[in-house]
Amino acid sequence: MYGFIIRRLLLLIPIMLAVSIVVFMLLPLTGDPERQVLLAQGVQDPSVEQLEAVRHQYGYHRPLYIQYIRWMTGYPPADPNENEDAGVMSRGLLRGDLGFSHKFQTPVLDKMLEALPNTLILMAAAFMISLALGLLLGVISALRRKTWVDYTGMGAALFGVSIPNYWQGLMAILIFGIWLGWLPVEGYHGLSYLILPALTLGTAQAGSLARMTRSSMLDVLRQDYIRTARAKGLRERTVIYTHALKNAFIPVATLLFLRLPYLFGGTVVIETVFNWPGMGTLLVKHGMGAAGGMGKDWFIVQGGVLMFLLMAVTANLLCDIAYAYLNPKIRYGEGG
Amino acid sequence: MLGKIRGHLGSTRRSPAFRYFKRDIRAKVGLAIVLLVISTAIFADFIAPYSPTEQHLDEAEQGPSWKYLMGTDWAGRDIFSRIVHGTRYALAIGILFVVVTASIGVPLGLLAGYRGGKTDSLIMRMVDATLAMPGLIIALAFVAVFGPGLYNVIIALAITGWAGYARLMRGQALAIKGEVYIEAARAIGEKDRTIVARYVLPNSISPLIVMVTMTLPAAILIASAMSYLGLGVMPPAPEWGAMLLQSTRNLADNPLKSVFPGVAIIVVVLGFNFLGDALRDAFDPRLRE
Repeated sequence: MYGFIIRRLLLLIPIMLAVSIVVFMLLPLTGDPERQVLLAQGVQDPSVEQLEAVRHQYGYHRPLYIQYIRWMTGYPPADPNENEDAGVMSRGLLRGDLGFSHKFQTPVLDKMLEALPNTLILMAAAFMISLALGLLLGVISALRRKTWVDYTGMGAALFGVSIPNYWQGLMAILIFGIWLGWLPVEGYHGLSYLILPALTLGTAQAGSLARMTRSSMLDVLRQDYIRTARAKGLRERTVIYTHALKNAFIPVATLLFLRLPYLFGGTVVIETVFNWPGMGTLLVKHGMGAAGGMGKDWFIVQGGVLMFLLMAVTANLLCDIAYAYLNPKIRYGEGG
Repeated sequence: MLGKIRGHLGSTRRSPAFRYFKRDIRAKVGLAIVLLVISTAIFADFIAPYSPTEQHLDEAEQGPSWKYLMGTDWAGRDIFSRIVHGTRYALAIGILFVVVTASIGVPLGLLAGYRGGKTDSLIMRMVDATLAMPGLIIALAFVAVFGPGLYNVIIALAITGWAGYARLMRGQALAIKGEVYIEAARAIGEKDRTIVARYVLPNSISPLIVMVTMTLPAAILIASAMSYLGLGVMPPAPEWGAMLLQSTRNLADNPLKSVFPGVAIIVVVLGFNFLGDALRDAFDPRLRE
């Protein structure tokens, strides 16, 4: 087991390296990072001198690999002879510095840490809703296969996966927020603010979960050991609860983890719809300057993308370890 | 050898899968919707009473009427005409996405599964890593860097979209590799490339079709979300997500304006999903019974 975890952790190194390169390249890929930096500072029409000054200040005149190493580690330090400014340059990602946000006049990391808990709350609430709803719907539909219960349940689930999530959010805002006036629809100032975004995000995920649960449950119900359990005269309840459900949940649990990237994506969209003060809103609105945000702030984009990719990598790692723990075949196999 | 494959492809008309598919109500509804959408896209210019971008500024923000079936938007553009023309964007996005991702993923998957060994583990490492990434966030970052627009959206979604196809085709290649007719093809001296193209690929066509019908609507949904965020197809293009983005500015005053594009997306996506579900069940003998 420890061997497996260590091997899996070693595999993280190239993945993290790739992630860091992708995130670093976001700014150089725009073509003129110095103009982007000035735009974020509110300078619309920079002069040649201004551009040149920023280029040196941030060290963008150096070769890319030096910039990358510096962005990661803070070395080589800013060189005053080159007019490089230690004040604006990141002290290195490895030391937890994501750069300085000109929009907010604060380090990007502070902004991220402020937003991260809100995102985690929203995701956790949505996850719970989707789990409860999806499993229930899936199991009941499988048990009542080819009855109106099944058709209604699966119809609802199919509808759930076919609705644009953000539109569902808009309609929820319109009906429950504006027409009925029951619930707040913008921002996050208390538990009642959580209800609509969490429900919107949760129901969307519940649709696909219900579909997967149903087919997994049907697979299990077809197995010989279920027939055996029934044949030896066990009560139907015992067959379902102790034999079928447990086995059906194994593939569902895997799929749950595999679908986490979709939850991250969904969160970004739903946060923007409800102006939820989380990572998604920070990334899309304040970083990318979309959805009513004013102008881009690339350091926030880098930080936000990095944060989401790190979450995805971590979730994937935990999934693998949990899976290996449950399934010895993987643990002792070639290392997966 | 060829007989077997011809038999496999030629017999679809009489195969149990086709019979099952024909009886499935979802197949009928799905096919009807998809055909309706395709013909709407083709004949959009004849169906739509106005040009999708023609402005009638003195008649802006109107509700539905006989003149404007679904009302007008903030610039007095006919929403019905925009919805009709939007089918072109939806189909273009769905089809282009599938074509691009499949033409990357299918060969890679076949290569991994058929070759095995180092090639396989290298490709599958990449596939696993890609599948673990949040595709939408990567796509948004790509568009933020390279700018919005239809083609950039497709490329952005393809960065992660190919991996699903690769994983599917690898599994197929692995399963088919052991079949007797592959061995026979090798015995008569067929080249690997020929074997993959003539035997492995045609025999994995049914799961591939299912995959296409399932990823196509998903791409339409994600792309419309990107447009809604303002990082996809941009207004004034009559793309449904972009229309929703503009309509939310006064959601309360003219809610119908936000309802129609959403319903349009649901209908199209539902149509493809019906079709996909019916195909999946038809091709899976365990589910038929």
